[in-house]
Amino acid sequence: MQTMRATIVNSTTAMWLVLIVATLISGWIGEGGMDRRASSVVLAMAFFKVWIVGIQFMELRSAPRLLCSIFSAWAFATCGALILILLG
Amino acid sequence: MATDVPSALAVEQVHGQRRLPGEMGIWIFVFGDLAVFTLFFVLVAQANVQQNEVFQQSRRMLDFGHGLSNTLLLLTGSWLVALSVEKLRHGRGKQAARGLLLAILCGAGFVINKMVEWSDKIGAGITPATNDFFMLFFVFCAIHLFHVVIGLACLLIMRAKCTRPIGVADLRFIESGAIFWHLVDLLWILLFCLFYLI
Amino acid sequence: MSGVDRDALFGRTLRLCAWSGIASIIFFVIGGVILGRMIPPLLAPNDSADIMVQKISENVMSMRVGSVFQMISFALFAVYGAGIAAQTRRCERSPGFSYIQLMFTACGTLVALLVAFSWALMSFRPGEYEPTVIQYLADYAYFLAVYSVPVFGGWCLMIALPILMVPEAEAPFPRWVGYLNVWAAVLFAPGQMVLFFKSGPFSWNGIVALWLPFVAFFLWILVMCIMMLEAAKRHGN
Repeated sequence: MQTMRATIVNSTTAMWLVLIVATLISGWIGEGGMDRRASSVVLAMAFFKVWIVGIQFMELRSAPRLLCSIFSAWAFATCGALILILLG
Repeated sequence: MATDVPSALAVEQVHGQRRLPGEMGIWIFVFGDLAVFTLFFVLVAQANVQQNEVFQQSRRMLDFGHGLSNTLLLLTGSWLVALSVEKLRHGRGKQAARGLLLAILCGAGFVINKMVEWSDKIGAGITPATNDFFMLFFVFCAIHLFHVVIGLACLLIMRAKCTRPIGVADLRFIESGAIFWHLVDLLWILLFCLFYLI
Repeated sequence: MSGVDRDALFGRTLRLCAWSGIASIIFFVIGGVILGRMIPPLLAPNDSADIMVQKISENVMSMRVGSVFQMISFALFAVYGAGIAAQTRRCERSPGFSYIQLMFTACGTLVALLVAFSWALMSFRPGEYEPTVIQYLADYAYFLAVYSVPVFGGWCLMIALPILMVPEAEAPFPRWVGYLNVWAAVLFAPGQMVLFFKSGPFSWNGIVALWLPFVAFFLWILVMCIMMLEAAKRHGN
């Protein structure tokens, strides 16, 4: 039976593994030259990682909703803006 | 089959309550820094589009291994810091201190890695004056590196506090330091993407 | 914030200092932005000296009047800074950080005043000086404004430290103000790069080295003025 402590440790560790894997995947995609669309995918992956860092490591998941929303909105808007610039 | 009794300082997820991690002030700093770096990212993306040839050619001159290993180092450091804060909330100061020490080593590894990478580049005649890609690369990564160094200082202070009995104010300070470290990690993820990958 | 004792005179003084800061922003907007053409910058670091002389000659009257307004604005800094130091002093038993802040206030005020002087000299007789002298005065003005990172950034850190080092109840300003000052110092920092670039975002007309520190600087003044007014409220009318 998992203790609450073990659950918290495990979700942190699980997210770390997700981040490592995402890094390796985006690194593998990105290492060769890339066209604009692949670049956008890699950028989106990077923002996904950033969002995980905020939600899990910075504990925004359990923070007041306004703070969490502002962060998520920033991640989404910035990702979108950068992709628009790259594709535009 | 012991159930862990959450200490009063533990995250109140189990009760469904929402709690501000760290102090309000650190969040002002975090969002402020994010705003500034967002400006930096936009500048890089714009320059990428306007001078795509230069960017693609310059990007290939970067050592991918350095960038990737740096990303892995900071991600691991963040993980260790997050675990340490949790340990601390459950009264395990010594374990927290150990975790923080490992995180400090990750951070130090990042700094050394960066110094090696840069001295290689400069030795090969590539400097911030070489072209716009390298101007942005060196300057923004230097600003980030400055954050890393400050973060390392914070981790050292946090670790010193861990080895002694701590109160609620101390824990909030340590949480704030952890949040700053995660910010450093977060910013690098994006810098790595914009300079090494795209 | 120590001292429940209300001090009406102190309250009024603090209000004066806060309004001086606000006035200095207004005077700079008139003198540096609208008239002086300092920001958005009329000149550029990679303009040739002759081009600079030409641009200045076309705007010489507004730049002259602008520099007068700038002078008033920067003199008001001194009052603004002293207010912050005075509030810091209230929360110390013996003067420490308040003295340090006064030193930084004095340095910052002097640096700022020299900006106004340079602007004045640049528009005094642009046709008669060697063009490179005019170029030097332009560089001088902008370097004074943004290259002085250790002065203005240091000032912010010396405001932040006495707030962050003590429990919130004993601090001169709320804790978030301390963090804000640290962030302000970080935003001033890119100004140090103007020495190394003559064009692009890191030069003295660049978005990172000029706009970021300038906008941060005036927002910082505004926030600190509001916080001084907050502190003054505690001393009644």
